[in-house]
Amino acid sequence: MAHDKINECVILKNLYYSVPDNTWVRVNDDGTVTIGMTDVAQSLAGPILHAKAKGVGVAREKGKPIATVESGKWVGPVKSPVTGEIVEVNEEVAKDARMLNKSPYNKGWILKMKPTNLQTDLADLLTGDAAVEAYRAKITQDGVTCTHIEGSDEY
Amino acid sequence: MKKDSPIRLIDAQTVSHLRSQSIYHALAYAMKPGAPDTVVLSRPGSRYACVGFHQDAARELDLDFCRAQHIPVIRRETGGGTVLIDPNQLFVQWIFQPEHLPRKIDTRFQLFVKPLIETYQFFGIKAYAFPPNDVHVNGKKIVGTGAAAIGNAEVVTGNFMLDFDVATMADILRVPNEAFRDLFRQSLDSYLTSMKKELGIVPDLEELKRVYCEKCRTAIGRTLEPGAFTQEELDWMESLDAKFSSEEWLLEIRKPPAPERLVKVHAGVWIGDVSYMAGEKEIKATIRTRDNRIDRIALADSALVDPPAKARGMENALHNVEMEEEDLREVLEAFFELHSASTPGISPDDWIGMILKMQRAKLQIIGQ
Repeated sequence: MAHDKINECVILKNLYYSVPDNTWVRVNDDGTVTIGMTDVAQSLAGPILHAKAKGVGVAREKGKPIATVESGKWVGPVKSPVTGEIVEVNEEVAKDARMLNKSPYNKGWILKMKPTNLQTDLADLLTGDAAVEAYRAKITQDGVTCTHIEGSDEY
Repeated sequence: MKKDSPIRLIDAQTVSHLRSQSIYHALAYAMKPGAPDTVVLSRPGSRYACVGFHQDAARELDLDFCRAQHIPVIRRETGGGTVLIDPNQLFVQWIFQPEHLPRKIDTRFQLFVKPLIETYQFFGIKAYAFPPNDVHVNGKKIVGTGAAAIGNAEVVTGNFMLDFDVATMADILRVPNEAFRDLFRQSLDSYLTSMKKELGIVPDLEELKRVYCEKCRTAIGRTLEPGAFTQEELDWMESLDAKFSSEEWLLEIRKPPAPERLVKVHAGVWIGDVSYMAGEKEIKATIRTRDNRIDRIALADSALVDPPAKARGMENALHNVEMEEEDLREVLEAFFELHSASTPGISPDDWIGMILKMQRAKLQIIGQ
């Protein structure tokens, strides 16, 4: 899969990113989108102990919390990169929150939404080389180096 | 709001138990771009128990006991474990614009604990940082901290422990048996400390706050200017007081019963109640670990050791042994041989299996 690595942080080029909120969006064939947190986000949080997503059927505006994650030291929201309704929650992440650390772009997806205004929302997100460059600037500015726990996806 | 602008300082004095939690949440929710960073000092007017955002209050606390003793329980929106809070704690809460704090959490905690440590040191207490986010004195915890992103703000919280009510903390916790509670009580006494315990007295509160603000100004490199809550912040407090009082919010998190009960005394010290099936026999023990070593182990049934009088010797032999299979095996085999003792039907592997269950459960909780 096409990707770039900046200070060990993996950025997949085929995803759409909300760089300020450290979330990603994958557009699915059935019109839904899959949402997760980035490699940068999981590294900043540290080993994640708990993850609690809003339930199926909940409607959320872009920028509003759709989940809360807790590491040993910090609790914070995952903010929705699109507006829509939650149609599926990843129960595996609810059972084992460390999936968010090990596989932020694959098995550690958080939830799926049916977006109401996808093209408008996507226009506010970054993808491909533009996303990589935006992350390069952010990672450099914040002095972030990503860390990967045992069993993490290899890139 | 520039990064070098003055920080608003709000000394909220003594507040209700609800406000001691709702203030910093409210300031975070009300924070707008350009709004000032704030340091809040407050002290709850009465005692209460407080659980972390992802904790199941009913699993952590003896809620019936809390009700009978009129100890309210609040579930906060920050993480961490169960704590007893009372007027003998002075809260320090930072509610900052995210870009005004170090992005890396470890660096953020280093900054946050610096003025706390320097204040303790000013009063003659040899406090030091215990990474990632505690402050210790001679191996005992004196500050616990937490951090969260709430609304548009980043929040960091901590406290000055003026004194600590060990007995009540041990009483409110849900435990598997009274032996576990006794060990927990004793462990709190051994591994937590306070200003009163260290100095014999509680320093003057106004002087403590004055010194902290001065150390804070130096650590952050910005001035602190006294300020007041805005009407919007007060409105948020009202609404959060209602939320934090509701049973629905408190009991929102429900988790299935855990096979082992583990409690953290501080980052290096844990107590666990573990059981293990050795064939058809169930073996059980209460174990306290310190820095990955067995600090204390109490077998639930000494009759499993032949002769039973040697059970205490087996417990003593395991004291200070590293929680590693090889080390445990070496000690157990040497003990059985040297003391002509045995545990019929239970092999050293079974005992090792039981002890390492505690280790696995601990690693699961801390996310490793």
